[in-house]
Amino acid sequence: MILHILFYIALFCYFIATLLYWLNFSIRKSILFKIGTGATLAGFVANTAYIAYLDITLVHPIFTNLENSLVGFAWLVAMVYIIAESKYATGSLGSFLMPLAFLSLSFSLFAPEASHPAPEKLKSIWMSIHIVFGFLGFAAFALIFGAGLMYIIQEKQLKSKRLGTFYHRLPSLETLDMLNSKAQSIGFPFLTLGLIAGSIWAQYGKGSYFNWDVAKTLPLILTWFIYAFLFVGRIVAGWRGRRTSWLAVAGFFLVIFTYFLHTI
Amino acid sequence: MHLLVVGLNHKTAPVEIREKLHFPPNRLAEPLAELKAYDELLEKLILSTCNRVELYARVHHVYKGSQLVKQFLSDYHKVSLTDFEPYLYQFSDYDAVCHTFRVCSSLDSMIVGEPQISGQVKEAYNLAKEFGAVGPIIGQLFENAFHVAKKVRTETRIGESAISVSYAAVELSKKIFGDLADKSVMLIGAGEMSELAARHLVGNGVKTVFVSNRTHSRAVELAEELGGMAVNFEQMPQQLAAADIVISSTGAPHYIIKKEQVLNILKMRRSRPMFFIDIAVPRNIEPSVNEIDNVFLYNIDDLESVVEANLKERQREALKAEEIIKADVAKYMKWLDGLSIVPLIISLREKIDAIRRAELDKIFSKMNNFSQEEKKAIESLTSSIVNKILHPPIVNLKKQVNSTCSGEYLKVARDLFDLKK
Repeated sequence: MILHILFYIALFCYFIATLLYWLNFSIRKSILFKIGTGATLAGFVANTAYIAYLDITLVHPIFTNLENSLVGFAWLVAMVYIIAESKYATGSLGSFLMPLAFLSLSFSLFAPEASHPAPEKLKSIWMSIHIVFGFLGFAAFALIFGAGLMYIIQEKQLKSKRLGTFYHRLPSLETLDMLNSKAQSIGFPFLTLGLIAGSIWAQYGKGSYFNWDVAKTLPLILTWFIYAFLFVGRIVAGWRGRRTSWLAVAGFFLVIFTYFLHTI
Repeated sequence: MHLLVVGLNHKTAPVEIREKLHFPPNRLAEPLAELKAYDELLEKLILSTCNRVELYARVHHVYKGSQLVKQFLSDYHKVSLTDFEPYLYQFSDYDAVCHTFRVCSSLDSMIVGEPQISGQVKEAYNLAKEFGAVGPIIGQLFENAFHVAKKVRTETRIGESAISVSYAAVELSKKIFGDLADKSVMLIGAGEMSELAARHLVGNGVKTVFVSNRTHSRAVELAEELGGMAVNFEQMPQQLAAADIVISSTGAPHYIIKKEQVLNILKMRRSRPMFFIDIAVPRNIEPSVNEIDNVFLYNIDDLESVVEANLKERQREALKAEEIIKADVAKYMKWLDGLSIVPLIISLREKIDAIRRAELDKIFSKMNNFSQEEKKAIESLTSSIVNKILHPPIVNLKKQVNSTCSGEYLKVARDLFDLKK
């Protein structure tokens, strides 16, 4: 019962936060931003409590099936948003990230019940590392998605020289690029470690380092390559700007697609 | 008691008329001293800027007060009243409060959102206060006006976006580069607009300035003024890679910066963004440079349309400001009304008590065989009757502080009890 209450509080709070951030984006009244941030924090606390409760009662520990992975993802997105906003004070990042948190939580309501939790004998420390690092990577990519989208919009405004509503409300390209850069430098290593851990786990549980199911593995490898490309490109050649942002945004969709394949 | 504003501004009077009535800001002592002789003006304040001359006052009668103000302006400046009277406007009470708040919040200024007016009004207010020309009513009016002006500044974006071409350049730079502290600007060629833009950039944190000009001595001169370095015109293309912001305004008849060049420069800069501002006509920078990823090129027309868009935004924000001001005007009016009630209640009590005392004196002098005890009993009886009669009216008057038509109510109360204002 408590579990349900916590879940719906978090859902409601994320919804209110999204709505208020969008409203604030449009009419720019600081009171809306303040209440939105309050809703975000309240939702995050409820979300944390929900996850903690879930883990303690060991009903379905977090990230073990689609439903609670979506809950965990929402939690990570909220956490990433809170950290990024407190550091960079963009004022508008919430409009792009909190909808993701809300959607993720809402989708968890429709997730098929207890879809393929890993059978007991396969559970090992490597599975946990794989899942945790994988999802931390996902959260970073969600940040890249949000900040990347914002960068693309802002850059378009500046290039076209028609400075509309977004121009005034979005932070500077430099701030957005810094966000992206930090997120990429965190997300890619996590993804890589997560994949390695996943391989090791597969070795223990299924007997080989690779799962040669092409349909599942190909998107995964493609995703990894995209982010490796971006990661290395930035370090070696200082890649930044519109094209890399599009790639990062596309990469995020691929990540989601890959994940769904993964869990089926 | 009424509030009154009489004056003219850039909207109602041309500069030839405004200059005739202008009070030099550092010599407000004389006119304020002269105004002391005008009893009708209970409190006064003079505001005189290049765009307006206004007199704010608290008066007994609006008509009498405004006639006196006009006479004063005519006498002091030795200008015939007929010369400037058609250009004057006048506001009283509620409208005067609205006008005061709007002026302070820069809504009545030539450029809505300009930051100077608030300081100018504060100076005029402080001077008037020093001279004892300002009392509690006008004083509170302006204190509230400053408070509203601050609220408007912080809660709307009325003063935020650039409305001059050079400021627009700075605003765009900030949107591209964020913090300008570690960025550098290169000035190619000379010209008022580019110099102004460079100065604004330096004022906003840019520390590294390069100046290049065909006439090297000119470059050296300007570099010194801006605290930067002069660059030989021939070496300018090589130095471009070191500049984040490039402002170009040479008289060259052809493009001096081409797309190929910029592509190479960007590689050298490892894709760190560049902002080119081409103020020259004919243009110095090949327009296709804007197609390069991480490069932004704005010419003079582009900057003008940015300014235009910002002006429109200011108009929208001005509407928000009007709402904020309306709310605060209502607050001030309520405070003002509250003030009238207290003296009214006091004068009501005094009047009724005077009647009581008069009647008691009459009866005690006519029938002087009352004992002390009986006298006391009669005194307390009459006092009790008076209090009971006055209790409902006073309670209801006090209640009026929160209603919107308290002014009318007070007037009726005065009439009913025949109280003087």
